[in-house]
Amino acid sequence: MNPKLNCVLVIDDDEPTNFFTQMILEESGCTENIRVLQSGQEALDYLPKSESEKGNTDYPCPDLIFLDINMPAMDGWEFLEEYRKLNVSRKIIVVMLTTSLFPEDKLRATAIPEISGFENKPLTPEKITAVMEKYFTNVPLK
Amino acid sequence: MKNLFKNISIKKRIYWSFSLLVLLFIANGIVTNITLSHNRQLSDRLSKNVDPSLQALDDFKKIMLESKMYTTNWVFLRSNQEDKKMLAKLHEEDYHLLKTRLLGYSSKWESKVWPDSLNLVLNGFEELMKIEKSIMTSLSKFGDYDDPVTKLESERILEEEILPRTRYLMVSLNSIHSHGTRVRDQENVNLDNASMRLRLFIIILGMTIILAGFLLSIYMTKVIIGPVHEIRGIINNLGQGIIQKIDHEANNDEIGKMVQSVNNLSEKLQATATFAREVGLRNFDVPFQPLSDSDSLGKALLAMREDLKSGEENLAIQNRELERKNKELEQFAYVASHDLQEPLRTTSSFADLLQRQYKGKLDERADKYLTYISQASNRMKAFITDLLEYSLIGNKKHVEDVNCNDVLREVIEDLDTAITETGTQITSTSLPRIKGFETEIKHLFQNLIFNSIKFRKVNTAPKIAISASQTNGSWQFAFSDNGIGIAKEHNERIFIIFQRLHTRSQYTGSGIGLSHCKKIVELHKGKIWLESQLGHGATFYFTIPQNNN
Repeated sequence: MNPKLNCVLVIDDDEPTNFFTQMILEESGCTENIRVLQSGQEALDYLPKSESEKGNTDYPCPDLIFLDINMPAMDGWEFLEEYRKLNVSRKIIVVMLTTSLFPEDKLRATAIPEISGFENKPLTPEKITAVMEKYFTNVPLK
Repeated sequence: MKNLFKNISIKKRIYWSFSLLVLLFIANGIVTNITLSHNRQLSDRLSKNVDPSLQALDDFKKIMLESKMYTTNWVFLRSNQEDKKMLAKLHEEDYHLLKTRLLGYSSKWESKVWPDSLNLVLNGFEELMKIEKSIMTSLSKFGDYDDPVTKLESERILEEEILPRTRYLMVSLNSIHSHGTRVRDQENVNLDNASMRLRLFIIILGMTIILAGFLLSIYMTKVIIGPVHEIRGIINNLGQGIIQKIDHEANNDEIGKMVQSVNNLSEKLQATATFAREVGLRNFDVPFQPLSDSDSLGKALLAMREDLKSGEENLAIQNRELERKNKELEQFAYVASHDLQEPLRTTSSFADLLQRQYKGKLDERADKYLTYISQASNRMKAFITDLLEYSLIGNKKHVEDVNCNDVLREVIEDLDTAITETGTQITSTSLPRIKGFETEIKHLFQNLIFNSIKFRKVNTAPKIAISASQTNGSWQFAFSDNGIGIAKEHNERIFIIFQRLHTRSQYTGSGIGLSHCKKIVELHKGKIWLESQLGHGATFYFTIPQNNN
């Protein structure tokens, strides 16, 4: 049995997708909290708060981030640049969740150390299980 | 000195050589003339002086003998009046005439000894004549002979004075004569020698002229003909496009100037040729000036360079344009893969969700609608995926060595499920190694084999035979099956993207498979076609050039 995560962060600008992803995550019951953010900037605002205000239930610390590539203003790649500058102290698994079938995108993702996985939309219960087994088996969580 | 010589023009050299020959001729003429006139003087002296002198001496001898004879007769032949007259005439006329003659000649003689000797003889003879006169006087009358004293005295004078004196004078005269003869002989020898010398001189001079002419002609040949041949060789080579130079030092004469002109021509042609080569190598910035205003070749080259340059620039512009268009196409593929997928995915996700959560809760019709929405969305998704894959064919830039046997084995492994389920038999001859894009070739094999399985006859296990052979520098592959076959009128159409021959309920698929194959074969600069009869299987052929880069 996999441990339950504290929080999963979903970063995607598409509202129906977020609705769907959130629903699948809730159904899987793999996490206590789900936070859905509609842009990279929102996530960049959120992450420091989750660090500094520990215990604040509005900003639970995420263990896993599902990140979309194609977003207005700041895309997934640009977000990762900024994310690296944040120097987040705890280890967060970042999984790209994208519609892109472009092989170059996948190649590019494997070249970035912050990215742990690459999944095509839509998110399914099987994909969640695979991610959980790959990254969170027997890992003690805070 | 040598340099000085090199600076003299050939014209001057010919002029001077000719002048030298003319000078030799003139010298020859002068020397011949002088010698001839000298000889003429010699022979003149002989004929006008020496010979007459000798003649006069002979006459003198004759007069002397006559005077002796007449005087003797005077003494002993009293009545011989004739001889007495002759003696008197000799004394008074003949001797004086002879003396005048002799003195006339002797004054022209070169030697002084000779005239002196002659004068002595003349004086001696004159004394002799005085003595004879004394006899002639004492015996002048007929009766004087009767006087024995006078007669005896006369005989004594004759015996003791006249005869010895005459003898003595004759000896002197003979000596003078023989001296004269010697002189004459010497003069003749001189004349002969002079003639001989003249002949020799003419021969030597003639030979000198011939030799000089010969040497001059050799020299001129060396100076003119040699370089002219060399220049001709260079010009002939120029005619064949071989550009050469004469690299040895040239004289500063007409030929030397010609050599310089030829070298100049070679250099200019070389410059033009170099420029043309550089333009050919697309080095457009090499400096070049036409050789003159009327250098049409140089001007043509410059115009050519400008044309090529602007052509190149246009090509570069078009290339950039093409690259931009390609980028746009890639962008389009990206848009297709992402931006079209996104709403489609949402549609299909929620249709699925709706089906899952509300199936049976609505009416049957609603269930059917949902099924249609779901199916259409999935088909659309497949289209987009196929389209993207199609657009990505040949995205990799480099060809590699592809072992088709390995590719076939991998494809058979990948299609294992389909092959096992349908009981397909695949046979293959040994396939070649080719130059190509491995992923695409694999795709091609996979599509062809999968098509044969897909379009199999009902209740017949598919049989696929694969072979390859060499034709005209290409590998020709054949994929044969025993499937349903294709009517001839569709042979072209099946290679067009999204064209299908069957309804979806008969055979699934987007209809992109064979257009995929065509694009892959064309990417490898090959051709693809098929031979088939409806109901009797099909054979797909394609070619891949052997030296594909």
